[in-house]
Order: sequence, then C-alpha cells, then structure tokens
Amino acid sequence: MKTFSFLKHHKLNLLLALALLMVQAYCELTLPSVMSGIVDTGISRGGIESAVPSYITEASLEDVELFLSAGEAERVENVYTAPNDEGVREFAGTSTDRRDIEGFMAEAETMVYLLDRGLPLDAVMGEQGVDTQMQAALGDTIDLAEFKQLALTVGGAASGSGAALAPGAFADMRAELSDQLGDGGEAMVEAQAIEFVKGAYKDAGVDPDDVQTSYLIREGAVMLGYALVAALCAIAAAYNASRTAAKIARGLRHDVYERVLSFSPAEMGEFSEASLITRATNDIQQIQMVLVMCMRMVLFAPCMGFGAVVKVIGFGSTGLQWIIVVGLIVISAAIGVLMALTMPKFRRMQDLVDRNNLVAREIITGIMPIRAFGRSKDEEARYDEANRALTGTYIFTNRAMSFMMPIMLVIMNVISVAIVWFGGHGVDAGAMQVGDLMAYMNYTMQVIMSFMIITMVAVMLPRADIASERVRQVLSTTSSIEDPASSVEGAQHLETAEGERMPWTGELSFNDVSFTYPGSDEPTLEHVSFTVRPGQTLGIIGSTGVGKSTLVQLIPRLYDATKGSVTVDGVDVRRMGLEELRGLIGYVPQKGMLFSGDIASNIAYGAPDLGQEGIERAARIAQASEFVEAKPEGYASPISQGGLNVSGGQRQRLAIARALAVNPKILVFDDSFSALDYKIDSTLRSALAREVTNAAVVIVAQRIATIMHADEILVLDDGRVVGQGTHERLLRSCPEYLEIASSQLSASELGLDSADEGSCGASASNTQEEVR
Amino acid sequence: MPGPMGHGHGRGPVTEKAKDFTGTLKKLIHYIAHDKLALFVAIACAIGSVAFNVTGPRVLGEATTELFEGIAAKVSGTGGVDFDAIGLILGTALTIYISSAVLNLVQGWLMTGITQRVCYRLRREIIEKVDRMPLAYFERVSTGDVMSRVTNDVDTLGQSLNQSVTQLITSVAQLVGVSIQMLSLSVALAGVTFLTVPLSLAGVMLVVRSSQRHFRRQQAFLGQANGIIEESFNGQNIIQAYNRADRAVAEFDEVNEKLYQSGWLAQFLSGIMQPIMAFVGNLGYVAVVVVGAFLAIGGTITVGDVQAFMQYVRNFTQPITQLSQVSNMLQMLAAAAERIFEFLDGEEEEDLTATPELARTDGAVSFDHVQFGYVPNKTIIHDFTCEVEPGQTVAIVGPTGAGKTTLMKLLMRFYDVNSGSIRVNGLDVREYSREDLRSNFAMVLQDTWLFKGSVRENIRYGNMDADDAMVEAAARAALADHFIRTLPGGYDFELNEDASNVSQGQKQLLTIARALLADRPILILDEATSNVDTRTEQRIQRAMDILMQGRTSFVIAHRLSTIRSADKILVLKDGDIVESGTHDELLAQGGFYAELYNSQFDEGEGVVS
Repeated sequence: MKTFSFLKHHKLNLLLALALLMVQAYCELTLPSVMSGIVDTGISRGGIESAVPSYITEASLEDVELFLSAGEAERVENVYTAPNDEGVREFAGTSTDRRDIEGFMAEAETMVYLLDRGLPLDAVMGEQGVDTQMQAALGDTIDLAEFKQLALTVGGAASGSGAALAPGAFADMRAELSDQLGDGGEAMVEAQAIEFVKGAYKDAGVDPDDVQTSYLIREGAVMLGYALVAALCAIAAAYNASRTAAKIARGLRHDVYERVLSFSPAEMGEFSEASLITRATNDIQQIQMVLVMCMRMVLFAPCMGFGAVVKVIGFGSTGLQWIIVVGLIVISAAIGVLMALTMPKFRRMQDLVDRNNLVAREIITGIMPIRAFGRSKDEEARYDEANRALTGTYIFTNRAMSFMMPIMLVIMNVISVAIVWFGGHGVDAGAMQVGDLMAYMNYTMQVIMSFMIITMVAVMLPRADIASERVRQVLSTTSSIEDPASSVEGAQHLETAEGERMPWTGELSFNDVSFTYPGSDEPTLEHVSFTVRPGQTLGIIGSTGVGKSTLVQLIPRLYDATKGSVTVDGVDVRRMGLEELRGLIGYVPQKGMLFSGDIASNIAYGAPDLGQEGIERAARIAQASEFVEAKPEGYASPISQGGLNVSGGQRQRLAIARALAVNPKILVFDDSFSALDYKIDSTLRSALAREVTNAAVVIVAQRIATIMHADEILVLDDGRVVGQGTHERLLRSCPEYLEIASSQLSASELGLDSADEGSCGASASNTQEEVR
Repeated sequence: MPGPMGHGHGRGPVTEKAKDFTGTLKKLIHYIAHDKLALFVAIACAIGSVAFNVTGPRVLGEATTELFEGIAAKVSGTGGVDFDAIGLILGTALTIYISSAVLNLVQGWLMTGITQRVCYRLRREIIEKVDRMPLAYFERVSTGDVMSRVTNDVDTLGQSLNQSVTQLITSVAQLVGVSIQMLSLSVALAGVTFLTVPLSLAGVMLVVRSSQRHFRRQQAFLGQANGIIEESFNGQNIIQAYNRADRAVAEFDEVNEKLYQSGWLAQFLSGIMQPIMAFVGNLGYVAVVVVGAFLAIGGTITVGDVQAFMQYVRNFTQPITQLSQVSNMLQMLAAAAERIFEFLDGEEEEDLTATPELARTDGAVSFDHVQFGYVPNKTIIHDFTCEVEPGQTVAIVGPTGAGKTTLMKLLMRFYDVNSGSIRVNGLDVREYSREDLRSNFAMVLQDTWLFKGSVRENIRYGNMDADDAMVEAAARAALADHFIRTLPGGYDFELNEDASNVSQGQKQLLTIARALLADRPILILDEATSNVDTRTEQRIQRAMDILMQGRTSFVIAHRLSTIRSADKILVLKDGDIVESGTHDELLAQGGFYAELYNSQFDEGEGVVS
C-alpha cells in the first residue's frame, strides 16, 4: 500500500481517475441491459415497449375501457388526444403517465385480446352458468362482439341494439378473469397485451414492422453511445493515469537524484552505490508501471464489481445470488491453493536465478584460471547442476500457473450453465425474462472478473511495495553533513583596516581531530593534528585501511570530524558554507573518475569559465598534454561514461588536471599517484612544485618515493599518528616508517649510511646524489 | 463468458529487430524439433481446446432458444418449457467447456516443458561454448554482454516462445473456428462481423506503430537517464567536491523531462489499444444485434442464434488484438534468439586430442623469433627470442602496453603466434592438446579469481586429488594457514561472491596456496601484488618465493623491488626485448631499466620549493 502514498499529491488526478472509471463502469454495465432490452423488446415483443399504445383507434380504446373502472377510464381518456379524421387517438401523456396506467391497461387489453379471439363460454359465464339456449346461439366459445351484445341484452332490452355500453361495464369481470388466468402471471398478461397493441397499431394504420425497426435503430444507437462514452472514458483514464504516473516517476527520479548527490560517503556506504542506482532506475520504473495499473485496473475493478453487485441485487429475488457467492468462494479457493503451492517455489526462484548467474559469471570471468587448471568439464558440471535446479523450478511454477486460466474458465463456464439452468426455472415461473437472464449472466461475470483482477493485483502489490519502500528510504535519509545557514563569507574574521574582505589563503589545520564512522565503536582516526601553510606539502603514508582516505575526506567535508576541528585560515570548516569551502579545494580522489563529455569539459569541470589556455595549462602541469595532443581531436576528444575509454594512468592525470584547473588554495591528492608509472609520477611532482606555489598540498601515497620530500610526513597506523616529521627524521625515529620504506627501497636508496644490506646496494648507490 | 471489455494491459516492450528474422526462426524451429512429438500434441490440444471453446457458446445459446420457445409456447398455451431438453443441452455445454479446459491444461503443461527444456539446453550450450571459444572473444566482448545472453536473452526467449506459440495457435484457431461457426449460423451476420476486421486491423496497426515509436524513444531516454545516474552516483563525491550538484541536477532534469514526455506517451498509447479495440468490438456487437433482430423477425434465425452470435463477435475481435501482440512478441523472440545463436555459432579454438610422448617435463621454455599481434597489421611482439632454463626465475618489466601479459598468453596458448615458435619442455606448444599444455602451468594473477565456495574447495581447485592434509600443508606453505584459521569455520569458511569477505591480500595468499597445491613445473605471476599495500606485499612476496622454488617462474611486476632477485630480467619496450640481464648488470648498463628504476626517487623534492 506504500505505493499508493505517492499519489498523495495528485489527489485531483486520483479523483479524476475514479470519476472516469465510474462513468466507464456505469456505461459498460448499462451495455448488457440495453442489449437485453434489444433482445426482449426489440425481437420478442416486436419493438413494442409498453402496453400503452402510442396510437389507437377510438373503437379499440372504447373496448379496452369497458374493462376499466370509471376512475381508470377517466385517467386513460385524459392522456389520449381527441380522435382525428380517421378516428385514431394519439397518446399525449408523459412517460410517468404511461407507467401509471400500464398495469391496468395491460390487463384490460389482455381481456379484449383474449375475448377477441374467442373464449370458452363456460369460462366466461362462470357461476351464472350456461344455459342451452345461449350455447345454441353462441356455440362453445364467445367473442367480444357477442359478449357485448349479451351484456346489452342482459343489462336492459329497452335500450335496443343501438345503445352503447358505458366504460367500466365489465370492470368486475377483469379482476375475476385475470384471477382465473392467474397462473401465467404478469409475463403472460404482458405478452397478450403486446399482441393487442400490435393489432391496435395495425387498426390505426401504423405498420408494426416500422415500429420495430425504429426501436432497434434507436436502441442500437443508444448502445453505441454508451460504448463510445465507455471507450472515451477509458482513453481519458489511460491519459490521466499514464501522465500522472510518469509525473510521479519524474518527480521521484529528480528527488532521489538530487538527494543522493547531497549524500556524504557515510550515506553512500550505508546504501551502497549499486543499490542506489537500482533504486533510482528500476525501482522507480516499477513504481510507475504499478501506478498506471492502479489508476486503470485496480480502481476500475471495484467500480465495476460494485456496480455489477448493485445491478444483480436490482434484479430482485431471482434466487440466483447464491451462485455468485459459491462462484466467488470456489475462485478464492482455487487462487489460494495455487498461490500456496507456488509461492514457496517463487521465493526460492530468485536464489536459483542468482546461483545460475553466479556460476555463469564465474565461468566467464575465470576463463584463464579454469583453462589453466584444466577444470572446464567440472565447471560445466557445476553449471549444469544450477541450470537443472533452475529449470526444474521454472517448469513447476510455470505449469502451476498454466492451471490458472483453464480453472478460471471452467469455473466461469460452470457458473454460466448454472445460471441458465436455475434461471430457466425462474423464467418458467415468470420471475424473470429470457433477456434478463442473459443480462444477469453478464453481471455475474463482471462481479467475478473484478474479483479476480483484485486478487491478482493483490498478489502483485507487495512486490511494488518493496520498490516503494526502497525509494522512500533514500528520500527520508538526509546527509550527515549540514550546510550552515549562514556561511562565513571570505575571511570575514580578518577584515582589512579598510573593511574589505580578505581572500582565503588556504592555511589548513587539523586540531586534535578524531573520527568515528557512524555505527562503529572504534574510531577510525584519533588525535590527528597538523598545519599545512600555502606552498607547503604534507605527505600521508600508512598501510591500507588505516584511515588515510578518511582523513583527507574531512577536508572538503565529505565527512565531519567527530572530535576536534578542521580549520581553514582558522575558521572551522563546519562554519563555512559548503560551496565556499569546496570552492577552495582541488580534490583528486583515489579512483580517477571522469564524466562523459570531452577532455576539455572534464578538465574545466570545477571551473566552467576556464578558457582553452587555462585548460591547457592544467593539462600541462598534470602531464596530460602529451597524450591529449596526440589524439586526433585533442581536447575535444570524447570521454565515455566514467572515462573508461582512456587508460587508468591517463584518467588519473586528467583528474589531477581537473583539480588544478580550479586554481585551488588547498590541493588534496588521495592516493592519486599509484596508477602512474614512476617516471610520470616524478615529473608530475616536479611540475607541481614549479607551478603550484600558493596552495597547501596534501598527498596520500603508498609509495614512499611520492612523499619522501614533503615538508612534513604523517605516518598513520590504525588511525593513530605514529610518526610525524620529515623523511630523514622519520627514518631514524619511526619504526613503522622505516619498515614501509625498506620494503620498497634499499638502504642506500633511502640515504641510510648502513649500506650493508640489500642485494643491489652497490649499483644503486647513485640515486639521490645524482638526482640532486 | 467474459464481459464486454476484458481489461488486460497491452504493453509492448520493444527491442531491436532481428537482422535475419526468418532465418533465426527456422533455426529455432529446428531447435525445438527435438521435442517434436510433444509439440505436435500441444498444438493439437491447443486447436482442440479452441474448437471446443468456440462451440460452447453455441450450445449454451441452444439452451436459451429452447427456454425462449418454451416460454412462448406456454404463452400461446401450446406447451411449456422442456427442462429435460435444456438439461441435456446444458450437460453438453458443460462437457464441452470442461474438455476445452482439460485440453488447454495439457497444452500449457506440454508447452511449458518444451520451452523450459529449450532454455535449459540453450543455457548449457552457451556455457559449454564459452569453454571452446578463444580467449580473444572475451577480451573483445564484455562479461556483461555474454551474461545477458545467458540470462536476459534466454529468459526473453523462454517467455516469448511459450506465449507466442500458444497465442499464435489459439488465435488463428479461434479466428478460423469462430468464422466457421458464424458462417454456419448465418452468412449475413457473419458478413456484418467480418466488416469490422479492417477496422480492427487499422486500429491495431495505428496504435501499435505509434506506441512502438514512443516505446523506443522511452527506452533510449531511459538508457540515457540510467547512464547519467550511474555516472553521477559513481562520481558523487567529485560532484560535491567541485560544487557541481546544482548543474548536475539541472542536466539530469533535461533528460528526465524527455523521459517523462516519451514515457507517458508510450504508456498512454499502449493503454488506448484496449478501449479502441473494445469499441470496435462493440460496433460489431451492435451491428450484429440490430441485423440479427431483423433476421429473427424474418424468422431466418432464432433468438438463441443471435445470442450465440453476440458471443462470437467478442471472440472474433479478441484474437485479432492478440495476433498483433504475437507479431510483436515474435520480433522480441527473434532478436533474443539471434543473439543466442550468434554466440553459439561463434568461432572456436581447434584443438588436438592427443599430445606426443614427452621426453621431459622439467619446465624448460624457449621463445624463438616470436611475432604476434591481436589484430593483423598491428604487431605487438615483433621479434622475441629467449631461452629459459628449468627452475629459472624470469622477471619481465616494461611500461604498460609493452606486451608483458601477451607473452604469457602466448605461452599458455590462449593465442597462437603469427610467426616463430614457443617450446615448452622442448615441444612446440601447437603440438600439445591445450589441456595437456596448460597442465604445465600454475598462475597467480592480479585479478584473484576465486569462486563462491569454501576456502578448502578454492585451494583444492588446481588439484582435485589433494586431501585435506595436503590442502592445509599448501596453505601453511603459502603463509595463509594462520589467517584461514582465524576465519569463522576455518577452512570451511564460505567465500562469498567476488570473495569480498576476505581482504585483497588474503585472496592473493589463497591463489598462491592454490598454485602451490597444483604443483606445476612452470609458474606465472602476473602483477600479483599490485593491488595490495606494501606490508601485505612483503608477506605475499615471501609466499611467492616459496612457491617459485624449483619451478620455472615468470614474474611480471610493476614494483621493481619484487624483481630484484630474478635470475634474468627481460626489459620489454614496444614488444621487443631492449635489455636483458640481472638487476645489477642492467643498472650498470645505465639504459632503459636503470632509468625506469631510478625514476622511483627522481626529483623528489616534489612540491616543496
């Protein structure tokens, strides 16, 4: 459900989606009833919608009124126009009027219709009995004309044959007779009445086929109209859903991207880079997909389901509701069993996929050792094992899933059959019509389909929720490095007498700095103190993992010191604006990482306004100009993602040029020289010495040669400073330094007097003297 | 009986098209022919299932007609509803529906088996192929590319094969079946329905074409956005250090905006397929109802027939939509299959099966006027000649790209020389079977290749006959025993993926132990210590010294301190030996080696003025 919470700021779109889907559902649910109307009325009732005819001859209406009470007859008279020249009367009332009078009109019409076709005499006469004289005169049956005549005779011979019967003359009979015919029910009455109306139309000169045709065309158009509205709503809903979801995804991508760029290495480490990339790409993409589905299908299913339930209930007591209930229970059971069966396998599946990929990757990356050790066949067997396990699980789950469709189809078809069977009895009993039965079947299917969709989606949602949760985690994490609300602008504390701001000089100090990684008990750095003035160099050396990189990362505030302070010109870096601080620093990280673009854009990365001259100068100092200019496109040579199209050493030199290009007050090299070969390393350092004279330089190195001439060298071991001083002093005073140094250089190369060790002492004795 | 509008979602993922669509499909069919019988049965079941499914509504329609007529008869007083007859009809309908479902089930069961077996075989063959391909291929093509063939392409193939075959058969069968049924019911009504076909087709084509265009655009922008994300997250600290976050976000937003535009359009266009097709379906529906009603009045057909017909109209538009999806899926299938077959048809190393009897296996190596280049006209090794006595240690130094590693690859015959020859134990390497040749070598490389498994299994890798005691002895000799025992579980400690749960130095010690246990006469140490710090390096160096005793060893190193004690130092520059001799001799010469060596301490004053 976490996925839905992204819709929070798009309530209007959500409402719009709901409204559109409701209209769509309404239209789609109405379609079957229009359809059933077409079948019932259009086909079986000849397009006659009502027992109240629109046109009727005066005579026919009079016949009908004989069977109505005086009050009823009056109401009928009121809604019909006066007869025209041909004696035809037209219905002029409203549809409400029509509904009001339809009931008794139908009964009266049935009487007229039945009597018209002749009825058994004894049935009509009832308890009055049939005397033989009458039977002789009328035969076994009696028709309307005879009946009227009979009534007149019985009523009063005086009036003579010319007299007419008053409306309501047979009103009592109507009730009596309809009681007798009663078991056919309303449906029977209605069917007879329709027959009467057909006849009445014919008498009135209206072709019943025309009535039917115009009805079918009108209702067809109505149905098409509903279909069109449904389609338009669906399209609008798709538009709304895809736009909203894409908008949310765009927002999330922006937010995650911006947030991650503000993270300190602590947060980066906590999430891991790979995981952050997945969150910003796949996870958000998945959220977008699910949101589209939510706003179209997931919301639609309940609309449809609810509407269908209302419609089903609207049919009244059909006695068929239990079929739906049973159907839903069976479907839930089927889905439940399938899920219970496959879920554990699905959960294991990812492991098997991972295993399969792992072995494949190991085989591909290990081609050399595998071939060298002659283990190809064993590796193939190892892969085959993983492959078999995976294939077995795939086959199981896919087969289980292929059960889903046929089972659903069988359930739905059984339900249809059940509805026809039990509904058929209902139709037979007059509880419903055939068309209604078909519509009912349709609604039932809608209810079940909606239920199925909801169930399926409910199975999918948890996966999307995991993606949402992962994105949320990123967005709810803030960088541990806080940008102070107001930055100390320039060296405000050192205003000149004229009140002007003095520029930063770049004097860097660590004052008893300790640092502990968040969540760690052991400090990574303890009690580190030093000062580097502009023009000076500080070297830092020590084994891997002793905190050298951590130390220099405190300078541009990638981390903050846990204890003590880092200051620039005496100002605590935590009081400086991040931009202000970082603008002073040229930082060269351990892995030379470039950005896609070209060489020039990479060098000018921190100083976009730098001209070509400045770019070339930086490249020259960084010993990059030679290889850059050797390229056909020179400084415009493209750099691919991460800078992978240039060699590691070239990448590192471009990264150094990038740092030099910002004309930094503080220059930080985090083990940046290891990727360079010795020659370039040394020429680069001498170029730096010549050209960069006003910056404080901090160099982290693994090679002793890189830092042996620094003004001060810091020897780190397990986060503690075990030696601090110049090369010569450390060689004599610091055993750790001596150990590192002697592992790389012979004693004489180190300038130690005791030249009795080292295999090449004699021939290498020229080193330092020669160089100087 | 599904309702008027089923709500699936027509999502059209787009991949690049196959270059040779029919050729690839033919190959694939040939491949599936393995399971011929099962496939035929599955196809037969699919057709049968559709046939039954198509008859179902008609039979159910008969029940309605029977009911309708019964009621009519009752009204006119001439009879009543014959429930026996209806029961019989419904029983038939039920039987038909269940038969259809059973056949559907059998078909799904078989097709799953067929496709998964194909996937299994393809995966296996790809991996077996890896073993027969020349190393050159893997230096040209990234691991990710090969991996994506084993994983993504095979998965795509599996999914689309199952679905497209099933859907193709059922859709066509349904179209034919429904057409026959409709024609047999009423030619006039069938004609009305057929009129909607061109309309459906036009709708499908229009939507599919435009949505595919936007899907492709979306895919492209997605790729761009992902590229930027990957790059920026990777260089996140640099962006911060250079105050570039705002600009990076602004640049990202540009692509993000394009992705949004193309993304929603693609989604939207694929989303309107359903409603458009549903409307076309409804159009046919209304036409059938109206025309059907006229025909029913005329007494040409019964009401039940009209009802059955309305079902058919539904079942008629649905396979047309499905077929358009199938064509899309077939494209994906062909593209994936083509990439897989392309790999399987790739070049292979030819190999000898047997190696002549060897007089000696002492590890003598000689290079005789070796010339080699990875690509023609770009020679890397020009004329390399060198004799190595058994048991000697040879150090190879030189700047990057000088051909040091290439020499070792030639020695192990990962590549063949262009001219000249290399002899191992006095026999030309081309006269060995590759496996026999390589059984002379043990390697320790800069990239420590270890697999996910226990420490013990990893050390034993080079010599499966070694028992636990031998494994531990090798580890002790390689100075790895101590750290292994401090690991939880000791020798049974599970290395994880990339062995990232031990340090780089420890990994290297394990590969040395592995090489030691393999006990091969010739040893290759290629930059084995360049990824570790100096103190660890000393340890590894000591272990390597033990390893090199009594073996012919080739040492490639960046750090000159590791090669001072070699019997012979070969200085390579641009593929040629420019100098050779011992450390002392070479320094005395004052040539390229001396220059390289001395630059370690050059201009040391550095930044200090």
